[in-house]
This record gives sequence, structure tokens and C-alpha cells, in this order.
Amino acid sequence: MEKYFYLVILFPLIGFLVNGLLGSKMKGTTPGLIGTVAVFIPFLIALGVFFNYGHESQPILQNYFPWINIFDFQANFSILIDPLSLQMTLIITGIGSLIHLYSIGYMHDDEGFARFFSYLNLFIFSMLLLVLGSNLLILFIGWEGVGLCSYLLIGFWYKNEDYGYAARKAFVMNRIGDLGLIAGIVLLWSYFKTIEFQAMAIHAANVDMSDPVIIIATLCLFIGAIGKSAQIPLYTWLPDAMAGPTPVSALIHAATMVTAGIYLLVRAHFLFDLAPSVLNLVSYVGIATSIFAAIIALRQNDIKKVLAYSTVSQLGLMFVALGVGAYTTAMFHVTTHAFFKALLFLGAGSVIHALHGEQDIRNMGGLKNEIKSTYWVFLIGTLAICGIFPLSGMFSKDEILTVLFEKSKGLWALSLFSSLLTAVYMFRLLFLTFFGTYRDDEHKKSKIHESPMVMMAPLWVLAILSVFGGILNLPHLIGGESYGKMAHFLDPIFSHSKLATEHMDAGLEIGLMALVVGLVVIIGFVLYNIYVKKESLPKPDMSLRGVEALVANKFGVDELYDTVISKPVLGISRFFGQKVESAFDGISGFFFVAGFKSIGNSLRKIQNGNVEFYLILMTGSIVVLMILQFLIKI
Amino acid sequence: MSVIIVILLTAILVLFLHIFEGRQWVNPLAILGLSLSFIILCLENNSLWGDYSSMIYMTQFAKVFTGTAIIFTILVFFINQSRLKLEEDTNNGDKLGLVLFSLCGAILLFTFTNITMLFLGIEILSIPLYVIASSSKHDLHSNEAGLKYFLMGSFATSIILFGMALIFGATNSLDIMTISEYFSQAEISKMAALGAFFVGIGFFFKVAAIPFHFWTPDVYEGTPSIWATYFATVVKIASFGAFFRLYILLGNVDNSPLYKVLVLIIILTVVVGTLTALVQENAKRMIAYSSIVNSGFLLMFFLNPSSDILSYFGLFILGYGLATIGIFSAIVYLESIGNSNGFEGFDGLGRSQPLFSLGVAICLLSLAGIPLTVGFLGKFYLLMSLSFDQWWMILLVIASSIISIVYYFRIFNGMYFSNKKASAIVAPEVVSPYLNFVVGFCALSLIIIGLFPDFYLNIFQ
Amino acid sequence: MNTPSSYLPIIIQLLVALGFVITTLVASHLIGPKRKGNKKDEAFECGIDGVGNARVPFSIKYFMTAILFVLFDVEVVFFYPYAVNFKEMGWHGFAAVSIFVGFFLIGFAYVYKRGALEWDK
Repeated sequence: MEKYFYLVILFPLIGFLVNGLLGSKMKGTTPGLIGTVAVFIPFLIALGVFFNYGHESQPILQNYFPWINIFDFQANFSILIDPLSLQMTLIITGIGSLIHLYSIGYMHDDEGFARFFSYLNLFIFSMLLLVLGSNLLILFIGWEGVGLCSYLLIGFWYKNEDYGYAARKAFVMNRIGDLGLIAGIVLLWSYFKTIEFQAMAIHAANVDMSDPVIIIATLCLFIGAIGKSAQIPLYTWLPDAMAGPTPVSALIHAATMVTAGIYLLVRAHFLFDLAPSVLNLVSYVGIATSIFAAIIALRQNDIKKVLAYSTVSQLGLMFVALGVGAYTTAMFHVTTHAFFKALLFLGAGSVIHALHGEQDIRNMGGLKNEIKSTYWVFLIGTLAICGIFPLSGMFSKDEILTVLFEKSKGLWALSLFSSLLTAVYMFRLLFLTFFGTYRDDEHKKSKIHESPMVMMAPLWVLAILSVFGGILNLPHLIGGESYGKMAHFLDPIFSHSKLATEHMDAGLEIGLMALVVGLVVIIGFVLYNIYVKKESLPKPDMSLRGVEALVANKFGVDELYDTVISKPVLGISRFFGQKVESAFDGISGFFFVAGFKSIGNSLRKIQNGNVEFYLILMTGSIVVLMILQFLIKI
Repeated sequence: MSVIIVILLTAILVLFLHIFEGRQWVNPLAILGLSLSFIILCLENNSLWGDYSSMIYMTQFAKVFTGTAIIFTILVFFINQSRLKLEEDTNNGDKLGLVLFSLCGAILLFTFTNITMLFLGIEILSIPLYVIASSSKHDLHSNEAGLKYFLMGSFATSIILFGMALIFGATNSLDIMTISEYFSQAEISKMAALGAFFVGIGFFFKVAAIPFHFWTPDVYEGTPSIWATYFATVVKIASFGAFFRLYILLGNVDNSPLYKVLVLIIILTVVVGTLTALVQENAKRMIAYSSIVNSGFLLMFFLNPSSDILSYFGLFILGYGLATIGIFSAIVYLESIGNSNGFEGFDGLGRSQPLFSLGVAICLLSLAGIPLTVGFLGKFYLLMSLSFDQWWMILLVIASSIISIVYYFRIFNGMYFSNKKASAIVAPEVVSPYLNFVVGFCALSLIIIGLFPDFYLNIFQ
Repeated sequence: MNTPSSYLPIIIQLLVALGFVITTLVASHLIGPKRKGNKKDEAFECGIDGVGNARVPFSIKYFMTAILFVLFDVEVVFFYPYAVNFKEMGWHGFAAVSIFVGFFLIGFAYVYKRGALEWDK
């Protein structure tokens, strides 16, 4: 089975070429079927390899052809099959095929149907290169490739000029990260004289802790991860990226591409273990992003924007876990997050589809009765992300919190706060969308329709995965003998790791778990009161009168919530959402467009077309250069 | 030598065929002659070249560069063929003849072993170009471009000649081996140093390094796009081929008379070039500035010259040339359907000509340095060739690459994401098969060599 | 001997020469009497009035003929050294010069066929 593993990479590429070149001539849903099959077959192959891969198996290195050979630098086109890459491959191809299938329904009427599938296949191809590459350079090809596909897909609906701008912004921001990555690659090569992961890992065993080169190199890699995984300060592209079609948001901007940064850190964990200071930075950036994005999410009214900020927040949590060296925990959360966030995005897509393009949750409401099936899967997704027992999100999030509790109480408290905020904005989203009464006019209501089977089937599959995903890596407490399956599967790659996680006291673990679940449930009820019973609506200018009215109605809890938590938090949220974020935007925008452009404009004035002026300037330059070269000694 | 003879004879045949009622065969004949000279180049044994009073010598480096220049010229002629279908050109033979003559000059620049040949090469390369630049007789911009190019080109040539005279005065020889022996001494005379300095300055002009770049945007914009393609590629590769050889001889020594200037000019070129490219509103001018920035990158190879670097240098310039030809052929197509060559001319091209614009897109990706293309490899090799005490150069390359995305992707955005004039653009015009061929050739070569760079790099051995 | 300081006299002379010119020009401008008027400012205060513009476009044909003349003139000049060394160079030299002339004849034929020498067209 391993012999045919190259097909895993080849099929999506073939799908891209077929759809890209011949797609426009095909009729109906043929391009969609081709695209889906081109991803599903690799999934089957990867599944076969996975079942053959025992705990004692050695990582398989498959070398295809030599690529770059410069000085003593060598890079081959080769892939590495080990537990980590296998797990990522399964996520990418598995969720990828579901989303492809879903897209057949979602994109059915789009004129760029074939083009869409060719980009998606190209994305899967690049993403597989990223996770399967046996050296940093192959990873880098995939890294750039997914950035490019993300750019193409964000700007897919060119009807709106802003979308093209958002796409380019995403690409430029990604590029900043990418170039950090390549600087890291060059640095690591100069240090280890190899960029193969396995060889580097062996060399790294003999390197001192906190070696300065390693610190700088890991910082560079981390900059790359920040760009790709949308962390502060390079995160603003991700909410903008919601301009793309919803399946794209699900696939690229939730389940796969944005987790590439986490993959990179896990893949290069043997370097990060040597740089504890960088690891600390990772967790600080992670927790800051997590809370920051969660606060912004509280005030968003676009169904996709809420999910986008939620993604940024969850990615932040994964970075926190990485920062304390809990690599398997982060990977577990990557996996479950891929399940429920893809589910939520696709569910949101189903809602948007049902409402013919409406994305503002203020214009929704009461959809529970209109689109029952979508409601149920969305509910499952929400419960999973909030961490309600026994859904998958609870297990992965709880594992992160447990690890943090051991390592650092401060980080634990902040992460707990962040995950409670998750519950707040997710329940708000759920209640406003599906509960209460429909708020747009009746004419539109009559047109609401449930999505077709081709869209609902993937949703149900994802819903099942979101419910039972926790089984993959049960804590010892619940799983008994079969606990921590994923941790055991991934364990071989961490054999060099100097940081290992132990098990804690069972009582404390139960306590923590109960605390989180309990708080989430309370938040759920409070919000149910506010948004469903009270039918209060988010208005851009929520006035104090609303609070007074609540007091009059003796909703003491609401009052407390609203004045103590909600008002300040919403205020901060508005502050972050409008001021701070635009400042981040402004800083990067200033440097990357406006500032440079104004310098460029003044430079352009020199080019005035007057030959005499040119010649005088050139002669002047010669004189200056002559003085510099011959008279000034540096 | 036989390569030069074949090209010269082709040029003469082309000229005569044109006046003797064979106008439609002129372009095919030129392409045929060039293909023949390419085959001869491949078959030729290097040793044959030593015989011409040791004036020229074909090294392996020269051979690869000659071959590249010939292929670029063939591609330019293919683009030209697409134009001939649409309009009657009564002077086509003259233009082709001039281009072929200037190609001979380019080959002299790769092969000279005597600085008189260098000077002859520069003049044979340049003088036909002044005429070509103004070849669109009734277009005022074209006339202006020709005159500007001529004035500033002769300015640069005179500076080079002055430098050569000083070098001759100091070394009493025109043979570059003798000169290089002189320069490798520990102490060289002021006169020789000044001579090397002036030759260097002249070449900075020829390769369009800032602050000697002023002619580039104006000339590229005014010159008919087909010939601007030739300027941006063959002329560039010729100037760089000669400059690199000279720099190894004159500048790559202890106490180099060029090193400080080189460093300063690289910084200026990359920084100013990138920033100015950002604000251009015209695709041709943007390409002109992009070619200036690429000159800056190519000059960085001069910092640590070695025999390996030669081949990486070749790879970089190949990637640049192929991508530029691809984008220029898109500009030629847009002009032929009456679009302006501002960025808005590209709007909607991705929908009206999907396959064609896929090729153009690959060329753009290569220029921007996205992996799996030659452009990425070129930049990667450039980074690897810089040593770590030149870390600020590395930063320069990286920063410039980030910003370059913004301006390269303006074309990209226009082709794929623009909604403006979508219906107007989707004209029934078919892209000429010749243009399709050129773009396809460029895009495929960029990807194939990007995947298997050793095929190309091994030719240098 | 060949040090920068040996150029000092030249620099001093340059400065003196420049200084003299500038001083006299400035001084005469300041001291000299000035009288201005329409008649005074004319190019030719006495004589025939100027007519038209000196920069009249010439017919391109003059340039063509002149350039072609220079081209073939240079060819003729090459015959002088050849004539002096005629005997020593023998058949080899004869062949070389024949090829040289041959190229020029091809050029001439081209010029003629292109119509560069036709005056009335």
C-alpha cells in the first residue's frame, strides 16, 4: 500500500489539471464529481496505509527525484510518512472529500463551477505537499501553494472589487510569514547543513539548550506560523478571507490551511524544545490572540465573521498548548476543531444557502422550524465547540486546560476565560439564528428551503464525527485501558522530546472538567434567557434603556450579566473590533501600501522624461560614486 | 564563430528577401536561420573558437548564454509573427535584420577576450537598437524613445570607452588575460582603478541599475512592445553576460575598485526600483521597473563570484527572461485588440482567454518567486549564495519580494478578480497561435526547469 | 613624481584663470554703462533685417546621401594601406579585400533596391 502513496499527491493534481483545462467544456456536475473523487481516492489510500501502520512501524521515506543541489545543499523531492503526516493527510483528504461533496450542491449554479473545483484540488495538492514533505523546502512549496490557492479562492467571486483586494491582502500577509519561514530554512541549513526533518532531529539531539541560532531560526519559523495560522499581529486577513465561498472558508480557513502553522511547530518540535524562550512567546501570542479574537467575536453580526474570529481564537488556544510543549494535545484539538469548525461553517453555508445569500444574523431567527436538519447539525457543532460533555470539543479542550493547569495557573485561567467567551458568542449565534421568530419580511420567509441531500450528507457525517471525535483520544479517566489512542499513535515522533506530559490526580481532573462544563451550561442558560425569552437583539448602539428595561423586568441575573460582564465586554469588544483592529490594519496597510506608495510617488517625480535632467543627474551620481569609491575610506 | 556567421548571413538574406517580393517569408526565414544557428551552437566544439587572433573565445558559459539569447530572439520573432497577421508592415525585413545584427553584438559580448571586441560588441548591440526603438515611425513616443535611448546610450558608451582607454594606458594591453593579471596584483595604479571604475559605471547604465536607469521606463514604454521584449530580455542578458565576465576580472580582487560602488548601487536599485514599481499605472512601465529590480538581484550574484555562481546566475536570468517574454506577449495581445497597456487592460482576461492567461499567470508567479517555478529557484539560489555577514542583503531580497507581490498581483487581480468591463473584454478575438505558443513555451519551461533545475545547471559543466 | 600634489600648480592655474574671467565679467557688468532700447537689442543693429527661422527642416534626402557617402568613402580609404602592402599580402590579402568589397557591394545593392538613392519619389 505504501508503494502507491505517491498517488495520494498525484490524484488531486490530476483533478486540478483536468478540471482546469477541460472543466469549462464539461456539463452539469461532472467537474464536481471529478474533483471529489480525486480527493476521496487519496483518502482511501491513506486509510489503508494508516491501518497497516503499527506502533512499531518505522517512518517511511519515499524519495522521488533530486531537486535542488547547490554548494553542499541538497533537497530532494521526497515525502515522509509518519504518524504525524498520516494524521494530517487523513484530516485533509477526509474532510476535504466531504467539503468537495458539499460544494457540488453549494456551488451548483455558479458559472465558475469547474474553476472552483480545480482550485480546490490544487489546494488539496499543495496542502498534502505541505504535510508530507520530508524536508523544509517541500513543505515550503506546499506552504506557498496553499497561500496562492487561498488567494485565488478568496477572490473567487470577482463580482465585488473588495473581494479581490481582500484576496491580495491575505496573500501579502501570508507572504510576510512565508518569508520568515524561508529565512528560517536558510538559517537552519547553514547550521545543520541539512533541511531533512529526520536528519535535523538527530543533529538537534546534540545541540545545547537556547543556542542563539536555534532561537532565531525558531523565531523565523514561528513568524511563518503566525502568518499562516492568523495570530496577532498578522491575523486580520482571516476575517476578510470570509469573502470567499463558504466551503472554502470551511476547508481552508478553518479545517486545514490555518492549522499549517501548528503542524509546522509540531513537526519542528525538536527545535522548539531547545528554545524555551520562544515556546513561552508562542504561548503568550497564542493566549493574547485567543482572548482578543473571542472578544471581537462577541460583537460580530455576520454569521461567517463570528466563525472566523472563533477560528482565530481556537488557533490561539492550540498555540498555547504548543507553547507548553503539549504537542499531542494541540494535534488532538486540531483534529476535533477540524470536525466541528468545518461542520459549523458548512452549517452556516447551509443557512446562507437557505436564505439566498443573507449573512446578517439580525435578519435571521426562528430558522429552527424552517430548516430542521441544518438546525440539528449546527446545534451539535455549537455544543461541540463549547465543550459540552461528551462531545469531541469537550475532550480536546479539557485536555488543553488540564495540561495548562499543571504548567501554569495563569495561562489556565486565561484559557478558561477564552473558552467561556467561546460559549458566549457561539450560543448567541445559535440563538439569534435558529430561535425566536423570523425577523426579515414574510415574502422572503416563504422562499426558505432546506439544502439538498448532497449538502446535508457531509454535514451529518461531520456531525457524527464531532460527537464521537473524542474517542480518538479519551482521557485515562473515561477511556480506561483504551485511553489516549492518538497520543500513543503520535508518540513515536516525540521520542526525542525532552518535555513529556504526565497524568494528574483523577479527582482534580474531574473537578476541572465539571467546572468547565458547568460554567458553559450556565452561560448557555443565561444567553437563552437574553436572546430567546427576552428576544433582545444586538443593535449597533445598544442603549442603556435596554438595561433599565431589564431591571424593570426583574431579571436580576441578566442585570448582573449585562452590567458587570456584557456591557464592559461589549465595550471592549467594540473598542478592539473598531479601534485596535483598524490600528493593526493601519500599521500593516501603511507599511505595505500607503507608506511605500507615497515614497514611490515622490521617487516617480524624478522620472520626468527630460533627457538633460537625466544626464545631469547621472553625471552627478558618477561624481558622488567616485568620491565614495576613491576618496572615502570605509 | 560559425554561429555569428550563420546569423549574419540570415540577416543579409532577410534584408534581401524583403526587397525581392518575399515579404511573407521574411519572419519564417529569420526563425529558421536562428534555429539553424542554435543547432550549430549545440554541435560546435569549444576548441574551434580559439583561432580568431585570440579575439574571441567560446567558453561553456558563453555557449549557454548565447543559446539562451538565441532562443529568446526566436520567441520574440514568434511574437512578431502574430502581429504580421493583423497588419501590413513594409519595413519588417529591416527590423528583423537589425535585431539579428544586434544579436551578433550580444554574442561578441559573451565571447570577447580582447577589450576592443568588447567595445565592438557593445556598439553592434546598441546601434541597431536605437533604430528599432524608434521603428514605429509615426508614433511620437517611439521617436522620443529612440532619441533618448541614443543620447543616453552614447553617453554610457563614451564612459566605457574612457575607462577602457585608462585601462589600456595603465596595463599597456587590450587582451583581457593580461589585464586580469595586472589587476590581480596587490597594488594597482590609480589610473587602472579609475579605468575599471568607469567601465563599471558604463555597464551599470547598460544593465539599468539605479541611478543610471532613467532611460529604461521611458524607452520600454515608447518602444513598440514586441521590440521592448527584446530590450528587456536579450539586451539585458547580453549586458549582464559581459559585465559578469568583466567584473570577475576587474572587480573581484583585493582592494577592488568597484566593490563599494556595487554595494551602494545594489541597495539603491532594489529599494528605489521596488518602491517606484509600486506606483506605476502602466503595465509596461511596471515591467520596466521590475526589470530594474531584477538587475539589482542579478548584481548581488557579483558579490561572491565563483564558478558555481555562474550557473545560478544563468538560471536566474533565464527565469527572468522567460517570464518577461510571457508577460510581454500578453501586452502585445492586449494592444492588438485595442486595450490600453494600463493595468485595467488586463481586466477579465482570465475569463475571455483562460488558457492563455494561465500561462501569463505562471510567468507572474515566477517573477514573484513562488515555488515550483524557476523564479523561486533563482531567488533561493541567490539567498544561498549570499554569506551570513551579508544578512542585510538577504533582508533586502526578502522585503523586496514581499512588496513585489503587490504590483505583480495587480495584473493577476485584474485577470482573475476584476469585474470591470467584463462584458467588453470578452471579445471574440482569438489569441494568435503564435502568441499561445510563446506563452505556453515560457510557462512550461518555467515549470519544467523549476522542477528539474539540474538539466539546465549541468550544461554549465 | 606622479603624486596628487604634483597637480597643484595646474589647479592653481585653473583657479587663477577662472577667477580672472569671473572677476572681469562681474566687474564689467557692474561698472560699465547700460543703455537699453528696442533698436539697441536687435541682433543686427545695422544691416538687413533677419527673416524667418534658421532651423528650417531639411529634406531627409540630403542626410541619406551624406551618410552613404561617408560609408563608401571609408571603404575607399581602406584601399590605401592595402595598395601600399599589395605585394607582400599576395593572394591571401586579395581574397580578404575582395570579401570586404563584396560585403559593401551587397550593402550597395540593398541601398539601391530600397530606393535610398532615388531623388524624386
